[in-house]
Amino acid sequence: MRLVPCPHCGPREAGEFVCLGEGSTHPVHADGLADALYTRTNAKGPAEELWWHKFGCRRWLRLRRNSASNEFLP
Amino acid sequence: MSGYRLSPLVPAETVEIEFDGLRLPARRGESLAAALMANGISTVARSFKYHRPRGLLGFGSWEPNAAVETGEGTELATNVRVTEGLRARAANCWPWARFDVKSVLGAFGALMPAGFYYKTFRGPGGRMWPLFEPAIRRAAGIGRLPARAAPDTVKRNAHCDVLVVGAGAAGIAAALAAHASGARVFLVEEGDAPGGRLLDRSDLRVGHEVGAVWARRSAEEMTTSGARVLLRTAATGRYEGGLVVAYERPAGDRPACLWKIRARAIVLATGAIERPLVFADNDRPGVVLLAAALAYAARSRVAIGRHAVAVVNNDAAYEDVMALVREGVHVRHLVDMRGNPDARLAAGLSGLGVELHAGFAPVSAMGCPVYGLRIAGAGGAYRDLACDAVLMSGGSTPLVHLHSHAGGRLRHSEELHAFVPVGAHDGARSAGACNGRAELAAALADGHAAGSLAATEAGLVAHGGGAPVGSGGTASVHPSAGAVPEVARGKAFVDFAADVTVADLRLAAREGYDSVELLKRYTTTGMAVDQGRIANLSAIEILAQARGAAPGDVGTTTYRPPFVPLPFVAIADAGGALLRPSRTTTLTAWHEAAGAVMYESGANWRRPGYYPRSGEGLEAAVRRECRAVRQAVGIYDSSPLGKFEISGPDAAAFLDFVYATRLSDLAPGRGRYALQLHEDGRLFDDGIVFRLAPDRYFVTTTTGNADACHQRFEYCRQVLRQDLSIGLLNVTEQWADIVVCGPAARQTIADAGLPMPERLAFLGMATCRIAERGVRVARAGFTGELSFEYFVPANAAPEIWTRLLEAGRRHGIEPVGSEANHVLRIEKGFISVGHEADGICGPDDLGLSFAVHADRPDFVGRQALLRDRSSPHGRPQLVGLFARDPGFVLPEGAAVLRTTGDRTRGYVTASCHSEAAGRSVALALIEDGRSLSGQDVTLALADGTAGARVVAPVFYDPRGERQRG
Repeated sequence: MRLVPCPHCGPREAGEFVCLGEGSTHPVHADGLADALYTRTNAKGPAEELWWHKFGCRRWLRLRRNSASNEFLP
Repeated sequence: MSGYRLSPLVPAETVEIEFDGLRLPARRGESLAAALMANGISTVARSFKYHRPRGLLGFGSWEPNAAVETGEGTELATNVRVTEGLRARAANCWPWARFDVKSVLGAFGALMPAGFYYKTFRGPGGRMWPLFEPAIRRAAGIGRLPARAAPDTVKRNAHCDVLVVGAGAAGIAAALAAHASGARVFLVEEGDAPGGRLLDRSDLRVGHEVGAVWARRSAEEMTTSGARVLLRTAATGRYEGGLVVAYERPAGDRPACLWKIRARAIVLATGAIERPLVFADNDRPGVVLLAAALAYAARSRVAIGRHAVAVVNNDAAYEDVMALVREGVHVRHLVDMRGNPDARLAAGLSGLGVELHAGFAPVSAMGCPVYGLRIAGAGGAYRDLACDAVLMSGGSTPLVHLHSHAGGRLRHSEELHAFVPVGAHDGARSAGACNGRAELAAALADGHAAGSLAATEAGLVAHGGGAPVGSGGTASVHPSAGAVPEVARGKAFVDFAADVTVADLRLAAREGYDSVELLKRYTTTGMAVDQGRIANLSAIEILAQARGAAPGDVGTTTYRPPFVPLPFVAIADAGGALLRPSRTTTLTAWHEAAGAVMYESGANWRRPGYYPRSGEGLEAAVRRECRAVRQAVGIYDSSPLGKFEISGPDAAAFLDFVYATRLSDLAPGRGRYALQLHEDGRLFDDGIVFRLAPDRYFVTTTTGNADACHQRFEYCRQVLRQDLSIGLLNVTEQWADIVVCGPAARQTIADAGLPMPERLAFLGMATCRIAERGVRVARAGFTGELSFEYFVPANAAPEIWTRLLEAGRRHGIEPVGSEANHVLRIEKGFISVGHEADGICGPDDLGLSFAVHADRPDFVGRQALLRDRSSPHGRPQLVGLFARDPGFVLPEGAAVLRTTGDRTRGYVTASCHSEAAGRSVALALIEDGRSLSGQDVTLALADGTAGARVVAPVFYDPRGERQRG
């Protein structure tokens, strides 16, 4: 299982985390609501993602991961 | 019947075993396969599809044929150890391997080409599949489930600097190098002893020692100085992040162990296995891999036959044949598929009395068990060689599986006619034969270098010493020909385990299944117990020939764990309790002692369904429990409810953001029913939020969503609203929750001597003390009756619960389970998240607009609520249903139609018999349901239809006077 580099706890198994991907934004206008709710970039390659260290420090983390190689980037 | 022992059986170590009804003497601790070979049993199995007689082909886990049942599941005979009283039988036959009724299938073999089942039963016009499927399924598969539960597997986690997989020459050299650098080393080896091929070849030397002695001494010395050497431990998979899973079958009575080893760096020294050659009837008993015959002779002291013939396509095989002769096995002929043998090797052979036939390819094996081999020369000249065993060596298959599992890339090596790893991958590097360096000196050097690099990668300073020096074993394993001769015809098997022939593969290629992944799925080659270890390279070679392409362009199929088979019980948990633990409240023990039928409910909570009295069924018990709540008093354990403490200067603003219900204007000591929405405006969760103080709230959520609410609260706090300063605590398990409800609730509480604030109004909350413990009392509940909810410290719950029950006895108190709770909430039309709130409905659909305060600047889901819908029609709306027959309980999930023949308009979400309503009642979500009030609808049932009338979704005390009372 992939180790996730938690800046607070150190490297921990991915099973301790919830991955939200790009995450959801909180729309403040009705304009472009559907895009805000449902459209994601889903980039192949380096991307910033939201992870929740559920069974650890319970902090939401912004981590950079290469979605093509599944490697976390500094 | 040609195998025999090379050294006699000593009485002290002799035990009697039974195989297929035969009683046989065997040596304690040897493999069942060796015992069968020693007793001259050549047919040990039947093949998967055609039920052809099969003998042993390989050794250890590289055996495709010999699946046996031992009473503890199906296992390879090569991996079963002989113990006193061992009873085994061949798996895929009846009654025995030597005489199998289903062998008649073999006669129809020509009628069962690749894709037989699809073509016959499923193709155009093939409507017969449903008819034949049960019989085909019964005939398929190997082995039967054991009657008794499998023994437990221990699961262990380990961490180390350098993990070395395989304790052959390269693996030991790697482990030594890493160990010398000060790394914490794990060395796992599937076999019984370290050494790998060194165990088979006494001519291989390392330094001044015999190779096998060097291997054993090195392993012992490393163990003494802190390294961990695990024998009989097969690495089954490599995963991202340096994780390797290994399965240990210890000798003796210790239970099997599944290891999860996490290493900073990994050396893969998994070696290589021999490729069989492809010729007609190459699956006959007596035709084996040369390396296997050598291993049986050297390690188990058992000979395959008295006069063998070897068929080879590489130089290294010459050395193996010479080693075999030195072990005492008579090899009469060596057939080399190449025309110009190495003079030195040829001279060595003739010195041992082995006759050489160079430039001949194998055509067919004769007899069953085998008694001869036909070979053909360049000009079509045939020779028939008499023998009782045929030893095949078609080059080597580097075991690159672990490299590839986690995503390592491969390249095709023209010299090796095989695929080898490209570089290191994710901290794992290959060394030795699996890296294409099979010759001893090269393997030792490769292993040493890999071990040093691994130590460096693990953050240590590599020890500067040199690699161990090997001598002997200089001949190349590089074949200068493929393993599939041009003459291969007929039943020339490529995949022994899946019964796939060269003809099947060529046919599949002709029919257009000419990509390697399609070929695999169409012919099932590589899909059997050995996962293509034996077959895949030959299959790729055949496909390459058929396509006129290079094998490297054909490529390989995807390698997936497990590398060697392991029992399900090793990865699953037979009991389940550890795999999926259930959660208990502090009252669970009481419920169980009271005889409650326990349910596994939301979020893995184990909670009482109902409390039957003796002789009472579900229905009667639920009726009794409901009656107590409506007419006297009931008590239930609501502890699994999600509970959160939210505090701080911005607590009110935070809740106003998270909830669609305004909570900032709540007076301290008051609670409010509140809704959480998804950003898209759908209902996510509901519950009652109490305000304890201006800066402190006590939030309840549904049981099933407690964790999801926690995640969401943290998300709002940490990501969306970092401007707000709040404290957030999940206190679900800290507070038990006891609900006393019913007309006699007040008296019961008074009689129990529990505090009950006099002026506590509906949805009010007060704090008070019971037995020196702080508790919170609320006027809330889920039954629609006068109801007091006691949130008490979890460990205080049993005492308070018992006091209430004893005091309530006089008033007719009953403990109430989740079944009765379900009925009580349907009667009141209270929604249940997961039933009515199905992820599609918004608050208005469920009649909950009263709880949405959209006239506020911002909250989660607001924009979606405010957006104009293109049409307000067609929404699913919550309604009640009265079945036309008041005694008929509509099935939950039944589809609702306006009339017979209409399309589905909705479905029944909850349904029960209600004593309070004096009839059956149901809740349903129906398109524009509120506009249908008073009209009749039709329900589609599994067996016909039923009529029902749409009514308001509340069947008891519609004005809520009782709960406010």
